[in-house]
Amino acid sequence: MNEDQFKLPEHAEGRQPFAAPEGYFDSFPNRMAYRVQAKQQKTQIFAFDVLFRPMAITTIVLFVFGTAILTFQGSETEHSENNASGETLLSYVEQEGILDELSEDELVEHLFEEGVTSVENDEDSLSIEITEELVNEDFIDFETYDEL
Amino acid sequence: MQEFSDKELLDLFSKEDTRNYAFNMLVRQYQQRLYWHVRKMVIVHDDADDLLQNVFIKAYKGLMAFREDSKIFTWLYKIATNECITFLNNKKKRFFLPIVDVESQLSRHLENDPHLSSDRIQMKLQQAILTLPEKQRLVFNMKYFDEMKYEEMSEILGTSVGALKASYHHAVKKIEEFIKRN
Repeated sequence: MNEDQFKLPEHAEGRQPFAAPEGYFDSFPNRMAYRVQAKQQKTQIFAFDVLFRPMAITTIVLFVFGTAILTFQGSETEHSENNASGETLLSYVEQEGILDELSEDELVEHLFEEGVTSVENDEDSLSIEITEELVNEDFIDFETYDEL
Repeated sequence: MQEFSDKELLDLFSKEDTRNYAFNMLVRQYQQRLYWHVRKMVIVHDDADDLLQNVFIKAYKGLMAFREDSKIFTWLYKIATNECITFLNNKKKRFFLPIVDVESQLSRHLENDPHLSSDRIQMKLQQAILTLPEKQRLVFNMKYFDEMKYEEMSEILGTSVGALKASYHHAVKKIEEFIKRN
């Protein structure tokens, strides 16, 4: 069939079947300009994010690690600074009742290792007990014990 | 309004200080022809407005890499056509509607459209066009309303001239049948 057999309504050049809202084509270029500007700004922000966000995250992670390492080292130093003398240790174990859990042999051995000699010279109950122990084990006789 | 050639627009666009000016000129130069093309496909003004903005945003992004194998208008028309097809396909998927329902939905919109010219014959013709398959609708609009050459249509739609002629012929026949029936 030839297309001319059917008469379509004549179409005047440039005539459109629809109508656009009034002023639409006057304002559209400006709206487009704003939209493109907004898009560009968004792209710039995105580019900034892409570039600098990993750097910021790395800095924060490094800072946290650094702080953690420094804190850990600090606590170690505190321990080493807290190396107590034998006397301080003795008073501490007495307070805490640790003394009761130790045998006298262990305690004497430990105190000698720590170089604490004043305990033997003191006439406190512990010294007496140690001396009695020595007598019981026949390391010294009763006469010597009396002299002591 | 001063008309710019493709070369002038591209030259202005390639320089950063005149880029926005060139883009503004491009929009002013082609907005109406593209708007009517999109509007005839999607019918609703707000949809046509959204799609037209998308077309120009894509143009702005792609204009730097534009090779002068074709005219800027042909390229823009191609972007607009693809936007329309994607929009209509998404609409069909979104509402889980078969093609016919979307077309009848658009046809109903035609009757209530305050921006449709009050010509009764035009209304009937638009309703008849809406009964056509998407591709035939495109071909008919491009040929009948935009008076485009088959060669240019072939470049835009990627279809041979012969197939386009056949498609237009079928479209006219269907429109005739519709008008006779109604």
